[in-house]
Amino acid sequence: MAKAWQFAGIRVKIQHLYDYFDEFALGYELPEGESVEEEIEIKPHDIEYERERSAATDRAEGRAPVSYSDPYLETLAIYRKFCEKAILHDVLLFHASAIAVDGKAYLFAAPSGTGKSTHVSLWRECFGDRAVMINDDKPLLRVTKEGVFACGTPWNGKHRLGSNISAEVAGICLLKRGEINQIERLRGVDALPGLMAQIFMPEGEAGRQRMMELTFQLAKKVPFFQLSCNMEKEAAMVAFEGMNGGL
Amino acid sequence: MKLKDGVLIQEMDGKFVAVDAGSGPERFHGIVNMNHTAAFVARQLQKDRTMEELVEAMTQEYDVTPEVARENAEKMIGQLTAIGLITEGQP
Repeated sequence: MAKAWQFAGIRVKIQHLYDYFDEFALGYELPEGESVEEEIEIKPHDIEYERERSAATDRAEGRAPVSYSDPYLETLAIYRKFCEKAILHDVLLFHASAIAVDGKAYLFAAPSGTGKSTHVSLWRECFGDRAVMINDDKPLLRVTKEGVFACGTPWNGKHRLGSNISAEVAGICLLKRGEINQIERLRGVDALPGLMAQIFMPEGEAGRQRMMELTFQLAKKVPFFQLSCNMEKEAAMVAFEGMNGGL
Repeated sequence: MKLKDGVLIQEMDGKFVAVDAGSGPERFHGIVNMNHTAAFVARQLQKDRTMEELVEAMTQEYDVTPEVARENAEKMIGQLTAIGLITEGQP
């Protein structure tokens, strides 16, 4: 089976092995007969590769190894191949939780387990209907002359929070846990290490070079913040006000 | 000597940073912060250069004697070599 899909504005035909992906990526399909810019084909060895990567990540993060299903691993393989190509269209995968409030995107990045998703759940409580989840785990960032846009994708975390929308990025916040809620502005140069740690690194040399160039552009174009926060609702208000110039 | 292919140097917020976008296991993972002089030396080394050529470029850019330029260049090159951003070439 090979349907066509669109993620962050990139139209891609995907030849894959398991039906599960069609259900997983529901809402991102292109109508039949549309032209595509990229093609991806998944082979059994791509799924084995993901199995090994996932096991290595579990070991590295000190978790008991989990047995992942092939259909799930296939979704990872598809995203890896897609992101490798997307970078050449100026689209980056950024590991973060992204939420839109009043049409602008706010992104929270931190090492796994820090509590990005928990913090963003406080935003949903605070802002109600004004807030729309873009992607709780792996949004795409489209870097353009007009600005940087956060785009929803089906790869949106274990709670499947997200939607097929895109919004201009108002700010990116590097998050750490703390007793009190405090936010400060970071210069791009100071945000760079935290930013780079959460951006997908392509394998190919041309892609890698482009990824670095885009990361530099990102660090220059987008306002960055460092948020230290607890799990009370006040944390969301402090972050929102800080990211909107109330510093 | 020459900077490795794939090393990018960028000015940001009045500082300079370098990253290694090359492939291979010896790739430097991380970000190098540089001052103006280090960035100047690194940018010169994006083309293969001898020490003499480098010293000449530095005396043109900065108001220094060849001796001071050479001393600075050697220090910068030592640091860049230590983190693996420079490949061997003409001495």
